[in-house]
Amino acid sequence: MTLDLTDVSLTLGDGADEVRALDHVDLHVAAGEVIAVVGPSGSGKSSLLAVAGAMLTPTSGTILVDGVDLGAIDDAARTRLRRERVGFVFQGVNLLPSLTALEQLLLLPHLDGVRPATQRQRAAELLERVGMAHKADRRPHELSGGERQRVGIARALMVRPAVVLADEPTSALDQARSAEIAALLADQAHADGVATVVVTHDPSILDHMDRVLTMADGVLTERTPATIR
Amino acid sequence: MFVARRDLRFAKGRFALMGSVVALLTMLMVLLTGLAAGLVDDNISAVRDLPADHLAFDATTGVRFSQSVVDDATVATLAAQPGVSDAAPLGNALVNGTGPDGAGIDLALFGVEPDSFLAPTAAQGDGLGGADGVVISPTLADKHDVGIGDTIHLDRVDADLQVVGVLGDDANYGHVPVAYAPIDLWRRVTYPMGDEGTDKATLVALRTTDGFDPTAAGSASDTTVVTRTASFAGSPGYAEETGTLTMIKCFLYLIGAVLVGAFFAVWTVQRKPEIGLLKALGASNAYLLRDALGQALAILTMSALVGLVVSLGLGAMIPNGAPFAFVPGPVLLAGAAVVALGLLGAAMSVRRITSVDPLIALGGAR
Ligand SMILES: Nc1ncnc2c1ncn2[C@@H]1O[C@H](COP(=O)(O)OP(=O)(O)OP(=O)(O)O)[C@@H](O)[C@H]1O
Ligand SMILES: [Mg+2]
Repeated sequence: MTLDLTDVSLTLGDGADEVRALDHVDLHVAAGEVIAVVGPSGSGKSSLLAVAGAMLTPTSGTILVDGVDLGAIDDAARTRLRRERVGFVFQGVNLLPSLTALEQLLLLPHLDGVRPATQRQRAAELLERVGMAHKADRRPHELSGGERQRVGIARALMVRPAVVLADEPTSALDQARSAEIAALLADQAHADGVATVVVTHDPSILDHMDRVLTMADGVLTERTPATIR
Repeated sequence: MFVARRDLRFAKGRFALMGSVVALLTMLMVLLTGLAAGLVDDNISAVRDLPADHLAFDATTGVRFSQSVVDDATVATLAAQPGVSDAAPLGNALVNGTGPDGAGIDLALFGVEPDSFLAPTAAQGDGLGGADGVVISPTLADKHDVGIGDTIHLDRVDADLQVVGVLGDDANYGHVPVAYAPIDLWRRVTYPMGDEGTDKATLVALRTTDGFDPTAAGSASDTTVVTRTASFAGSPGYAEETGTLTMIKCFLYLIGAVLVGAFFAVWTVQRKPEIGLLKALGASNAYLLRDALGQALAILTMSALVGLVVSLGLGAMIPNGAPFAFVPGPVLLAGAAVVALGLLGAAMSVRRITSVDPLIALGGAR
């Protein structure tokens, strides 16, 4: 369960608006490794997750998700890979308004053709782990921003993905909760061997990360331990 | 339907609004269908129920009940055509007279030979026999309180019709009740100038077998031969009435499809972020389309059923005598058509699901 990006570039927009969102990016996340990507707004962090999560095709370069070359498979296969191998935590939290917290999680096995009822146990456990078990029956509009974010994280782990891509997973949480969530993501990565990428602005969670990389103008560079924080 | 079902419940106000439009539309369709069936009954039920499969009209006038004239020679020629097992003259005329209470009565006089296959069977009283005896439609009996033994006086030709029997089923022609008369009585009424018209009738009714060729029989006898059903259009006003109603119904179906389509177009646009999210989570286009169409089908079926039930209730309250008839086949068909065309409209709209980019789930300017 690894993630490998080799010499990946992504150009967005066209003409005068052309932006090089990713510039020859190399990134290798080992199984069970959790890495952080930090960097200023607009530097290309979300773009990195988009290409790694098979939502956007890079202009050039190779991406392997759990050993599968995204460039070598068709759209349907990419959709399926997203469903089965990738756990996403979206920057804007993104829950379906008509579903309860529990159902947000049960939706994923349903998309995969698995009867949701058989997955109740796991969904309940995950909600428990993000501290949302007592609000499992609430819909998004009845939850706070931070609570929604925690449901979003639980959802990303629901299908036991090979790769977890989290875009600012703690932006709406207080420090204590942020640390808990970071620890949860790290534990999950270590325990299940999930390759995890966390995009963050939150220095307080960097302690839980195995590595920290910096994104600036589409260029990804490794931070030496000394430059962390 | 994991999400679609929950959306239905979550946004029930909005769906109820659309559902009630569909229910009202279904009601209108059902009532129109009843009206159409009622008008058809009113206009040509007597022709529809004739025990003949083909009718031959004068070739020069064509299929027109009000103008065609044939004579006994035509009947004889047609009877001799291959495939014709029976041929009998039928006289058709709209007349007016006065009932026993002095009130005016419009009726359609059908003249038939009392011993031909066209002779009516009376459910009450006697069949045709006596020179002045007529068998009337129960609608005439009900509407004008005319019964067996009563006399209807035709003022203009100064003739009396003696009611001897009443038919079992309603028989109408040209929106007035039918009275069956012996053809001689009919000829006296229609051609009051005497001998000159004694062997005339309006058309020849035929019972045929497999080998019958309408075109050949028509050219041999100088007539236009059509099936009984095709002859309906020869009744004055029939084509206009059914044409108008059909046009109204077509417009309603179209409106229904467009309305449902518009609803789902707006709904799909509003749901775009959710669709993007579902795609980002790995939902395929096929899954999302199935979900959306299943949702449309569910809401359409429920609403159409409600509309059907309500309109059946309303239909039961329509007073007797109004041109209105519930025929289960066409009514169910109308309901099904509302659902089918609504679904078509929805399908046109939810198509755009396929073009939603999962990237929008990432938020930001994308
Ligand atoms: N559809 C698009 N067309 C053109 N340019 C785009 C598009 N989407 C993003 N960009 C640009 O690509 C660059 C990288 O955007 P990206 O969203 O990856 O940044 P980010 O690091 O995630 O920023 P933030 O921290 O604010 O979320 C930005 O300059 C952005 O304006
Ligand atoms: Mg971003």
